[in-house]
Amino acid sequence: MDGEVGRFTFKTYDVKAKNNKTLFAGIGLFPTHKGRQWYPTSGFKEVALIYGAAQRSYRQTIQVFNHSRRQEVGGTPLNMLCDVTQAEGLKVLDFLTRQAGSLFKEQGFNPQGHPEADCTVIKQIPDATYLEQEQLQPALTAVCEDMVKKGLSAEDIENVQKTLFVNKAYEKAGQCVYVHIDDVGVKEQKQHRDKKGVTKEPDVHQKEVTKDQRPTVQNTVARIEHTGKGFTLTGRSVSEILTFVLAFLLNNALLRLNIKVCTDGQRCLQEAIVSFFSWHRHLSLLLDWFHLVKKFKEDLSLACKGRDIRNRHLKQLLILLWFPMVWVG
Amino acid sequence: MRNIKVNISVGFSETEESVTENDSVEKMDDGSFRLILDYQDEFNIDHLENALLQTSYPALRAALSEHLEQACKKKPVKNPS
Repeated sequence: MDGEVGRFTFKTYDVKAKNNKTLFAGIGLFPTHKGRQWYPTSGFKEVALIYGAAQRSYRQTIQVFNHSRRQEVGGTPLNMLCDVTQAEGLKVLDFLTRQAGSLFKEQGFNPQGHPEADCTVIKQIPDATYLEQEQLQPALTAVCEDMVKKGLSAEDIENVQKTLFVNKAYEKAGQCVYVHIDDVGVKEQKQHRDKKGVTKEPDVHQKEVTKDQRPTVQNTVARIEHTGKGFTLTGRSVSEILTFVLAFLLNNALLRLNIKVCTDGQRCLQEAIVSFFSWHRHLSLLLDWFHLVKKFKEDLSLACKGRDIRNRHLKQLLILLWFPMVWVG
Repeated sequence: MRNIKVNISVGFSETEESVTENDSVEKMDDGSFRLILDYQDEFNIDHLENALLQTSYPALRAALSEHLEQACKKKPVKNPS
């Protein structure tokens, strides 16, 4: 047994008949295990997984865990922590998949998350509601003051005001649910840190592309936020995470809101999201400011001859992009 | 069926016995665990705290192990299959 109190063993007893036939096997009183598997208690899982491996590396986790149980020698080995973490992670994913499947069936979606003909949920999605002019005014006044500080002309400010009122682009915060999706790659963890100063002899047969590359685990992470509350989901692929996101939105009655999906500029990710939610009337993709500036800089480099000219225009153009006055730029 | 009582008693006391070598906890014949510190550690909070934890964890493991073993032993008598 491996628990919050430490790792230990105990004997079990069998009852045998005179003919040596086992009448009662003591091992049957405990959860079944294969071979020399250790039973991880719920305390083990809470401390070593939730407060441990989910927060930091396996190596750091096992060091702290064994130390806190005063079992530096004979404590849990790193390999067991890896195996238990992996097994528990798979159980969580299986649970989410099953829950999502039954929820889809209940709400009129097929197992892939596409609405069936009789799906009533999507018919109940209301029209988007926008902020009224008087509600928008205080924020607009603050923006105009900022624009004056940044040296923009009165004509530019007036144009921005007009555009905002005509476009009706500002939705009520309580009417929107924000979904942030991104791929996350995690490098394979080693049991021991490479010693400093010890350089490996290069393998002459090693291919250039695989040199010094460590295997990585690719996950897709989604963060869902609505009125100050948030939840994070992890999946093995974009398609899996999108089914989890849909199930989460269905389960929490958030599908009727305007869905704002924030991504980086990765085209295949954006296409997958748009295609998956193609039936939703109020879904829009947002490119976050970091990636917008990155893309803007790349395009500006193509338009300008030389770094000096680009940098000269960059600061002024970023002000226009922030407000957003792309027509002036 | 009888209920299960969890019973624990932890304490410090003075002794004439010699200090435990290498800070390794000893298991006594009566099933208790002990660690004997140097008299100079009387006010050393860090050493006292560490000694308590170092003694408690093996005791906890032994208690749980002993309980499971004994419970397993009596099970067939209570519920023969």
